[in-house]
Amino acid sequence: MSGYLVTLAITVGIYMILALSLNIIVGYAGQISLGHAAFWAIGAYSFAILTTKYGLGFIESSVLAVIITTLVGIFLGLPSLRVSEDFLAITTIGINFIVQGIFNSSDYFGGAMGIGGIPFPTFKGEMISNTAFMLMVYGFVAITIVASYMFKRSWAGLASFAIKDDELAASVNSVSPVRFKLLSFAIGSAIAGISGVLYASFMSFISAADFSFPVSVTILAMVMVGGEATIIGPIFGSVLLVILPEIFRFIHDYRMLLYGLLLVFMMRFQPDGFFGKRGLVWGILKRFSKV
Amino acid sequence: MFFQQVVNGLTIGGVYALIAMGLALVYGILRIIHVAHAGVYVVGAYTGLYVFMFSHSFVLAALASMIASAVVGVLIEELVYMPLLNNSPIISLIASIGVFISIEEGIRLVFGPYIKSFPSAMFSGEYHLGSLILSSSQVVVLLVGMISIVLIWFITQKTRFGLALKAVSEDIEMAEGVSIDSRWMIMLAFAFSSAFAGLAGLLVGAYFNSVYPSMGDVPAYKSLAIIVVGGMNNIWGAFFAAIVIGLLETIAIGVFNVPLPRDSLAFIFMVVMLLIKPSGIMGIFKR
Repeated sequence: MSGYLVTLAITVGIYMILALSLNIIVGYAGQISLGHAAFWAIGAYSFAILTTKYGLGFIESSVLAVIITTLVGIFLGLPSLRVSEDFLAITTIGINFIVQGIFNSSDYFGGAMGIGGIPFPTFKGEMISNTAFMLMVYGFVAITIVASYMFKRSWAGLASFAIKDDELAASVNSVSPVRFKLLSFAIGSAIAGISGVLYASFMSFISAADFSFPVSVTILAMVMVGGEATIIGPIFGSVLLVILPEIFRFIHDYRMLLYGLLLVFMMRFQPDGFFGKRGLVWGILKRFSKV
Repeated sequence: MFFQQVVNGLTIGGVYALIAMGLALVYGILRIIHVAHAGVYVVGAYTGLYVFMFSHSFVLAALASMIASAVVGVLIEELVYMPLLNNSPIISLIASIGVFISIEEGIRLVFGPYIKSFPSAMFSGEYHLGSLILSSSQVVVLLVGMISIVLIWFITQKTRFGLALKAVSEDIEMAEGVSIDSRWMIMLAFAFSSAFAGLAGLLVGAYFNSVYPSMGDVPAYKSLAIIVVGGMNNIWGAFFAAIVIGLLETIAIGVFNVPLPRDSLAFIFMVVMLLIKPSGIMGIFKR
């Protein structure tokens, strides 16, 4: 594989983890989150600060970064629990802007200059190759897929689905909405933290602009275009939305316009995503299985 | 200095109010977070700029920008929102963000990415009231803003149209039951709120004497914070919240030099508000 393909594969993998983690919050628990880039940022920034400022090793910093992201996720989940649906969407947009604003204006976090020199993982004192990094990323993708699958099948997942379908009915059946919403926020932000660690380590330089609101929209679009609450959906969505801009690089002036139109047309004609209940792919598969 | 900032805050708050009130109106009727409203605002700014270039008349420019934005607003409603009405709100929200990106990018491709300014600064001269300095564009923004808000108040509170709008936003089926044509009312509501968003675009363009494709980014998300603070579907809540946030920002940055980025202040205020009083600013008055 050429270096370009490996880099592309790593980017796709990092977004896959991110999209799957948002899927736990949006798809499984039905909590609209438009600020997922904020959790990604917290993972990446914690890792960057721990390695560059405090000189911690790769593994210790990764573990700490994931713990920090989870705690912040729970903390930010708390005000979000007081609100639902549309209010929640706007609150999470707000969280994204506030987190980005803090990273962008605080000198401790490198301010507008960002943080550079974030270490690449090493093995026996030597930096691992990009291909090895790619394998590591896909290892985490596999772990995330297994975790998503297990969450979906567990009682916690069932409880979350119940809350998503009808919060009142679920709470009457003694399923605590607060508990499971927080749980999904915690799991979702923990996995986003992993993705942030991988991103920071791979890029070796991060700045607040990498985690702006449009990035959150892109992540949500990956989940929605593929099909929320499925596992294949976010995977497919992240492949599509990372690869498409690469293919259309030659008309790069029209890229954002096409992207905007894609969002509109997807929502207009495939509102459940390609792999969702009313999606194109399932429709085709069903037709073939009938024959 | 302090009063100067208060006047500046009122000016900017008045413009926010013109955008946010329309957003609250649309939310009240369709329960859609209409992010593309800020796209309509950019369309208004560009139409106003080009009409002013050719006619050199502010009144014509204002009329043209209101009409153009009303048309764009109605098109968005007819082509995107109405067909999506039976889906979950997140779907129309994403579609709305898509429309917003498309409008901004379309404008960037057609008119270029650069900042454009009005040919001869639209209004020149300053007024001095004691230590207070008002530029004439500021006076125009303040005046037009106030007139528009009185107009919005009159239309929504004192006319049959306003009453019908209120009925539709309370309960579409009941409104249909008393023979209100809700489809038509929704269209008119979009035309009405988009027209004022377009006017706000022209006013901001004139105030800062610059019009550029991404000028809608900040209002797009700040107006969302404003309607949350105002109580989502409450037009007057949105008005008060817009004024409060306009003042808060300008005074926090201009007088107290708060080290946070200006545009995240509205969201911080929003989160604090949600923790204290989730029903919004009008909820405080009702108690």
